[in-house]
Amino acid sequence: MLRSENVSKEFFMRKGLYGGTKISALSNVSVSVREKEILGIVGASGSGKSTLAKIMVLLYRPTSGRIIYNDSDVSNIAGRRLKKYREDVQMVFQDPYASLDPFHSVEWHIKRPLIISRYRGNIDGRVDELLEMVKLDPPVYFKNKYPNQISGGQRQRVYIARVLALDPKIIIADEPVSMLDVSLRIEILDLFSKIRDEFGIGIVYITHDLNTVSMITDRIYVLKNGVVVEEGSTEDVLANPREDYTRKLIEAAPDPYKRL
Amino acid sequence: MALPIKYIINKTSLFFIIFFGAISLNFFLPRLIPGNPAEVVYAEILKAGGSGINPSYLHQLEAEYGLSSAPIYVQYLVYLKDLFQGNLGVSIAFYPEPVFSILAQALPWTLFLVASSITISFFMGNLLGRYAGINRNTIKDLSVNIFGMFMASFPAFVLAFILLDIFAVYGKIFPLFGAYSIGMTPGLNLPFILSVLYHSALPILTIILTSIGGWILGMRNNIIPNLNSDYINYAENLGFKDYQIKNIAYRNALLPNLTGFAMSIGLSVSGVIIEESIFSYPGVGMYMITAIDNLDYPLMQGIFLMVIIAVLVGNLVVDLLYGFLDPRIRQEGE
Amino acid sequence: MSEVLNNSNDESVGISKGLRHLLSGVAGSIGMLLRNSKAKVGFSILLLLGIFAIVGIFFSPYPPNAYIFAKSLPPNRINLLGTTGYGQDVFSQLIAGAAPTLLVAFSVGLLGTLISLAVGILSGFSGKRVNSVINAVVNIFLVVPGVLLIMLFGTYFLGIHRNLGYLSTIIILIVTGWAFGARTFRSITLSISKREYVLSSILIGESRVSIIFRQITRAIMPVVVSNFFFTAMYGTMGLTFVEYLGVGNLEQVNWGTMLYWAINNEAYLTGQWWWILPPSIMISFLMFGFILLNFGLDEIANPSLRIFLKKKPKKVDENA
Repeated sequence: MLRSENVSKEFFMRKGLYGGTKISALSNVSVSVREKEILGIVGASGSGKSTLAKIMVLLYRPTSGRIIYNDSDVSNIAGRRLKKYREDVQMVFQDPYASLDPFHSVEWHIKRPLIISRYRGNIDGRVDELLEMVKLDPPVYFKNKYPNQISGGQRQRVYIARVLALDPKIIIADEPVSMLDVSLRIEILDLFSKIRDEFGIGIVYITHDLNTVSMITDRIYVLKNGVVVEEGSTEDVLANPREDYTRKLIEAAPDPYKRL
Repeated sequence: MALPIKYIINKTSLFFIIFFGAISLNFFLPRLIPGNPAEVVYAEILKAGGSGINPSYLHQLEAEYGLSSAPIYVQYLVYLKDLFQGNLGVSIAFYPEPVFSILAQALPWTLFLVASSITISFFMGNLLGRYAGINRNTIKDLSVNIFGMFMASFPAFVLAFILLDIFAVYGKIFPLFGAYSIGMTPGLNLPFILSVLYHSALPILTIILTSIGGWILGMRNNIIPNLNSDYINYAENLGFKDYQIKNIAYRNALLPNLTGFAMSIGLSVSGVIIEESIFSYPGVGMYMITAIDNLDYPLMQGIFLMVIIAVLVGNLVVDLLYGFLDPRIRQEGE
Repeated sequence: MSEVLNNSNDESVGISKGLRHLLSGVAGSIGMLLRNSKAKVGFSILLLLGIFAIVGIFFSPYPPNAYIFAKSLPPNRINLLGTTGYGQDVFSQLIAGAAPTLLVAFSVGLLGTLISLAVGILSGFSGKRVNSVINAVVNIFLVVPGVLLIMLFGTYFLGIHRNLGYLSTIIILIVTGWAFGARTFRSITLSISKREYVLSSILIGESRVSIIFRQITRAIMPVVVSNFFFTAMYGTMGLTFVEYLGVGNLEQVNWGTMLYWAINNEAYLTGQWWWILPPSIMISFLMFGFILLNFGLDEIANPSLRIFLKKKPKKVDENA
């Protein structure tokens, strides 16, 4: 449904005064998201996974390679087509403290995408519905709150409701729970599973944490220094990691069940 | 060590862009005045009862302005050619003195005032700001702040008059005018240098007082977040000594203030030009007032150009120094 | 940035609503400001000066420009603040000169801030090429000393019109004073437009106009207010510069021309302190009011301002 074909991304970075160096964030990355699946993209920090997320929503453009959505090349689209594409492919950011505008209410954050996408029904009713969907109940209680008045977990729910308002086909979630307390993580991840099950939205879950990956994803890609080193169904990869790197990642993940 | 060539090229090209912008402004603005500036000036001289002026001077004036039937781009090229030969025309107020020789005498004094006052003000202001920031929210902090605010709120030239009044007119501690004592011949000897320092004390003090507030407040507001930051906490836990920690925070707070240093050159040149006419200090400022009063366009244009060149060179030097001092100048290619 | 922002959106209904947001933002900042004690003092100073100026429009003891008294009288019962070297009443000049002085200060502050805001946001939000052109222009105005520009533009105005009104004074001061604000707004816009909540709005499909009016201006409101105070201070100082250099209209009565005449007649050398001190003190008073307001604003806004200023430098991974 959405796939990257040999995508590479280079950044030009000026180091001190001594001219610039090219930093290759991704090289020849090919990943694909199937309809209604939860895909995991796993890697340590600096592995290029956030860059990949931003390329998938076209905040960055690939230096080489293509992004294919529904069999058409979207790598260089702009204007109306870009807007249309972004109604289908949305992103959830890592830090819910940074991704909501501190000067606007919860209601505003959910209303804007409805207005922009010309939602035909009752907008106020839809806002309530969306808030209930992400388990911010009762909606009246949250609607007029500002981001600084609610908790991190609640903020992430508001953000998910904002994204759902556009009725997307795919949501790319870049470390959506890493800033949250462990107790809240599972609830948010459950919410993603529910979104997939109920609305058939494909989810790309990007993380460094292999535990949470094992809970919800169907397939995973392992990314190391901008290169895909391993892929396959989640069970297979976690049970029989072929790469040292993957093994290290598995060892590094604290196993919540071990302690019990 | 490789030279930061790209940075130097960037800064130098900016220098030339600004330079050409400024000299073009200087060329075109007087030509935008409806009518003939030479006639305006000529009438002005007649009105002032200028002696030894006859109608042939009008043609001479027109020639000075490069005013001719020639198309504007030719005039512009002639202007540029004259400029690079150091030919800035003849002053009207000090006729027949060439503008270049007037400025050759005046500019060094102005540069001396600017350079010394800006450096002293920068160092003292930063030290005071550091003192206030380290003792934040105490009476020490408050008094330094009030001093800075008070100084910043006083019109610079009024302060100059008050100081002149107190120290020169009534106190007779400092001289009323001039850059050195009358009858002295300039030279590199001790009495002359002392006389120069003595005559420049009041102007420099005034400029320091009026510009120091900005440095104090800037440093204070930079150093406080630095003192509160994680890396300082870390340094504390590592067991760095108190003075070492303050020095680290100070050094990091100094860099943003250094960019301000380049910016402040223009401001303090403005201040100095105003002060000079008050202290009758023989710098550019004294001539500028005369030039404006007499609509002496050639002299004004000359002042404009020379001061801008000086300011631009100063900026370039500071920028280049800053480039060497801050290794973080960095840019993403996105 | 251009790459990120090149989605256009024909939705423009919200602009008036955005403006309302903007105004409520201004009101909010001022309301917040007045809870701070320094700002309160500064505000009271401005209020007092405002009342003084309004009274001065309708009433002054004597015609401010009439030469009806003995020259250089020290303060006495008839002339509260004495008379000038030309025999005008100093107090009448002071009160009549208040309104024009405040007018120049506030119009330079307001118009200058609006221009810098427009230029700054435009440059912060536009493509690389436009950005560097704007940047060069801003730099010219930053680097060239203001006095020189006042001289250049002032004599230009003198050349086209013999009588310089307040309008040309205000224009000169805006021309020489807008660049600092533009630079500030530019860098803040650049930093805010990289924040995730702005990226989020881009992804949602918000138009540039909407992001600028609804989000960016709202977020930088404290800086806008602070810039207004700074530019108004520049306007006050600039007025005295313009008058001092003699490129203004010296027949008008304001605190700048009062200083000009006092200085030109060497009031400081002849001991006529009542001529030179009153306008100086009023100007300092006005400046002090602005500075206090700015200080108060800084104290309130700093926790949030620090977010703009203290952006952690991204470390480049050694292995990358």
